Amino acid sequence: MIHLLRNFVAIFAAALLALTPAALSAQAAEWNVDRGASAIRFSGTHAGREFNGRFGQWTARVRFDPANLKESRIIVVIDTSSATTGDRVQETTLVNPEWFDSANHRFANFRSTSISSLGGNRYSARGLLEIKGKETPVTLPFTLDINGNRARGAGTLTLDRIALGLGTKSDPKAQWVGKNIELSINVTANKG
Amino acid sequence: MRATHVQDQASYRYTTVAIVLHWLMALLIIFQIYVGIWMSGAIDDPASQAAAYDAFQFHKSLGLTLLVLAILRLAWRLAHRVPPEPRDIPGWQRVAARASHILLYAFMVLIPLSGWLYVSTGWNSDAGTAFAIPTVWFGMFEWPHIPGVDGNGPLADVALNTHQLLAYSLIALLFVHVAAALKHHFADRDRVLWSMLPFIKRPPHME
Repeated sequence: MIHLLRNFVAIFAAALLALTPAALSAQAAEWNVDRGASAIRFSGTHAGREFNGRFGQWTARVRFDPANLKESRIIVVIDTSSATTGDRVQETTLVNPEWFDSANHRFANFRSTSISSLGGNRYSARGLLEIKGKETPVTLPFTLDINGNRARGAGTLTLDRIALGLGTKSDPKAQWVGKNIELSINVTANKG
Repeated sequence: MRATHVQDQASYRYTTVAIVLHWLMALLIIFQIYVGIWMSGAIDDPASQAAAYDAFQFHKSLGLTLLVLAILRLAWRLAHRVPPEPRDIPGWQRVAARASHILLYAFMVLIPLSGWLYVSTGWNSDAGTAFAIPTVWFGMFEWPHIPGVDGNGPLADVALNTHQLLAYSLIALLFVHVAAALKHHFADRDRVLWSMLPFIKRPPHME
């Protein structure tokens, strides 16, 4: 319970910190994520087979303006206990202490630190991915297509689960669960 | 007089519950042993690793099912009388039969228990590393692990060795069990096999 509260406070503080500078200076537009049209998925291999999963519960705050990337911010908070793959053994394993440790670290989050343009509709968000209280710098390349007040963003990111501290006791050599986990994010948002 | 005779005939049979449990468990145990031996080898071969992983999950689910069935069966056995042995069985055979039946019950409980203890340690004794995989009964719900043994490597080794040793002992005992049943039916031509398999032709020596 304390952990949960601490997580909430940390995320709330992070959200405030991220948004305050934007509020003070020229604002980048806020986008409201359409959860029904958005998904965060993950995939990898386990026991010689591919698995595909998704997080059922997550929220995102997005401030984005192609003309003002300096004030653009992305924050995603994921409920690690909401991961599903369709396989109960995998789902039960994922919340265990050596994987997401959801009882103690229910939420993982990504906070962008800088967003840069790669030309056209391609962008790159550098930021911190926090899992089990440990922050790892990551770069998320994504495409963004803005059509009036509606925008579509998509990005994939390959993560090294060993480096993230996931399953490091039972399978440190990735003999069962592949080292690389592909995270794919598809977001549809409306300008708020 | 006739009524008493019919009653005697009936009491030479095991109860229907005992018969159903016996044959159901016989089939499941033989299949379980086959799966257990196959998966232990197949898990090390990349070509069969995925199937062996599934076999392990299945083996755990079936083993726990067999544990529950064994306990039910033992309770039923203790609460009901069994058919008396044929009169002219030598004393040493009575002792051997009694001992082997006690051992069969012990194995039916101890083999799944040692397997459950092994997976509860979350340890891979072959690799000597932690290997925490939850037990989900036939993919449907999480079966709890025995508490207080997580990460206990030495206990995992004992549990796995016990599991394998008892399983091989059970195989040997099953051969004795089947051989004895066939001997009673075909050599002694008495009612021992019939009492557990009443659909076969009634043997000549019913007393």
